Amino acid sequence: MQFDTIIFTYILNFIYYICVFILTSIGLAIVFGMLGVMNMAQGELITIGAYSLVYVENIGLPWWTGIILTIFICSILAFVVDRYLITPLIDRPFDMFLATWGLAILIRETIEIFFGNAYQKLAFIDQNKIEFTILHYPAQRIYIIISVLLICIFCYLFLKKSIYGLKLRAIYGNINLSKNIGINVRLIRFYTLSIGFICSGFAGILLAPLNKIDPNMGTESLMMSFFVLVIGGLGSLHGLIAGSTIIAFIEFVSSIYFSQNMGYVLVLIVSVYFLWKKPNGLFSEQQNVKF
Amino acid sequence: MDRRLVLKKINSSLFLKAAIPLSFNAQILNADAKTENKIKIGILIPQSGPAAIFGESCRNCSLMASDHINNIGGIAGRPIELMFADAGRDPAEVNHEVWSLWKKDKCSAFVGMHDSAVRSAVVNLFKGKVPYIYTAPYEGGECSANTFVTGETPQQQLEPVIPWFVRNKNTKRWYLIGNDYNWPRKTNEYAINYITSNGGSVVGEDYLPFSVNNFDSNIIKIKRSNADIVLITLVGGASIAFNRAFSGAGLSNTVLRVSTLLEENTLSGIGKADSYNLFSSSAYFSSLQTQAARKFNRDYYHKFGKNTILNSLGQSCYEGLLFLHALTQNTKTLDSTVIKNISSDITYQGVRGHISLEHRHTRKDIYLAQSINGRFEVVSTFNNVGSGAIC
Repeated sequence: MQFDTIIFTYILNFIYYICVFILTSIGLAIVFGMLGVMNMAQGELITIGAYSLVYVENIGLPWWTGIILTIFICSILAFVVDRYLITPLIDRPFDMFLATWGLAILIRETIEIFFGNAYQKLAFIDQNKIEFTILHYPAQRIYIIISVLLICIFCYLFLKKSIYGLKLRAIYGNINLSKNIGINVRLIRFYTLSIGFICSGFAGILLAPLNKIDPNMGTESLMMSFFVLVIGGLGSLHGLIAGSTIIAFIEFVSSIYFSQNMGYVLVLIVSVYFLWKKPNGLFSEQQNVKF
Repeated sequence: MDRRLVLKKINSSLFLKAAIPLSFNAQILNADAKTENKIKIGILIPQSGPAAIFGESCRNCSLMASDHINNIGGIAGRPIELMFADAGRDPAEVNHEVWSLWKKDKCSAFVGMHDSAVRSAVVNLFKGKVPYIYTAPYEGGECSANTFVTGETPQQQLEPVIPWFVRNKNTKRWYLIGNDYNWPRKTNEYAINYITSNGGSVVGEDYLPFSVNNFDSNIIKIKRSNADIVLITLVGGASIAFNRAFSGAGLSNTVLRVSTLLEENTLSGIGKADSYNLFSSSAYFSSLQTQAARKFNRDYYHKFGKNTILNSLGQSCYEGLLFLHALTQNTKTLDSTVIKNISSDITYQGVRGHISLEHRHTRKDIYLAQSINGRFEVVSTFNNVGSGAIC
């Protein structure tokens, strides 16, 4: 193997790491960062995305219908969570934390009832396998990098350029004033929640071909998402990207020079340092939004 | 809603899972009152935790074994009845349930498919006072009284297989990768021995924690080491992620892979496209073409449908019960003081082939299979391989 190919693989791997962290954290960044909902079930939405693909394949539909199914399930879940979980519990963050935790268990068990707990497979990936032969770099990773770029651009446009984003930022800035000037706070909250949920669902769709698919697949990413937000700060896209980059960098460098165990320990140390010295993260907007 | 109420609800949903096996046992208990004559056998299989994916197939295979044994006259002339315990939890919790099966429900023997931590715990609990058959592939070294091992040892899985690769595939440079615990490290200890004595060399050795699902740095190391073959002792989800990444990096065309714990579930998770040049060494594959194995496969899917994949770990429970039956063929009793003295002359013909007892382990056939279009196809059979155990 030539030296320059290895360097190139390293660079692509690093970019891919950043993208995976952005992808698994973006849903939580929106739901927790913008709405202040400590959603312990966010990881399960990733699982739902992956299982949507499995389901449409099992019943013989083309793979892209899985995307539609994911959007559908995530929107319905967003509606139910908004109406029956967030609305009654909005002033009691600890209860909300517990309730979403319960929801996570419920989703996991439901998936287990319908699909069993065995590893699922996706046959369509096997049939449509493309590989960039010069680099031997998996095509799916390139798709992920491109998709994360698109999702980030969409979120940027949504937050900064659309009227909903403007209203959301108004709510984020001063909720009482926003209510008084006639912004429909609950509607905006529902839209934002849906987008947060759908983003996590997409993460599941994109990651499914590369990882194991079982009912617990999403749970494992939740912890890292919290670390990304602790380091990057809540409520901003560049905070999310910064947090992902720092964690990816720590994991990447330590996995090359030390071991992956060490990488995890370093991430924990850096996160604790941030909680201690910089509790709002690198880029934090104003905190304590209350609907 | 009141906070306590929420807590209560969360708690009850958390404990729901733990409660299922208990309530299941209670059902059997009721049925039992009518059938005093039956011999009860405790089956320790994972019903929760990461190994729970094997629970269903273990259960199914155990039930098939109990049907079969009851059809041919039972154990010691009495029909058998199975009682299941969840061995997928902490050893201490498992011990608690096993104790109750043993002392309260009066199980006369135990068959277990679980990890080594649970095995040491139950062996300490039994102290040789009840026959116990351990069916999982493991790292070797179990010699406790009244404990019999029917699973594969590293010696069985590797001693014939490594020379086969060196001879037939000309693989001189070996790379070892596994999860970081006792079994992979012990397996690789033996592997290094066999590799060097067959003229090969070990060009790298990695151990990863269970939480890792990103193998990029290892794959780059494998690329740079110019390895001919990778010996994989990663387990379950880690094996899936590694094998997909390995193939994604374009290594599968030039570098072979062989694993000693790759059963049908994991292979299905890896998928067709990413399992090119992937081998597995085991005493059973559901695609074995012997007459007994084909019949077993047919019966299994006929009885339980296509939902639970028949795999080597599940099938090991069937063999464990057959072994228990063979153990009592001459003595006609499950009395531990008699069973304890059995040391040889136990043979039987199982689904896996001809099995014979030796040093409380079993001599058996080992199969080397290659994944072809996502299914195992046996490429070589090694007959009557010894376990290497000296008890």
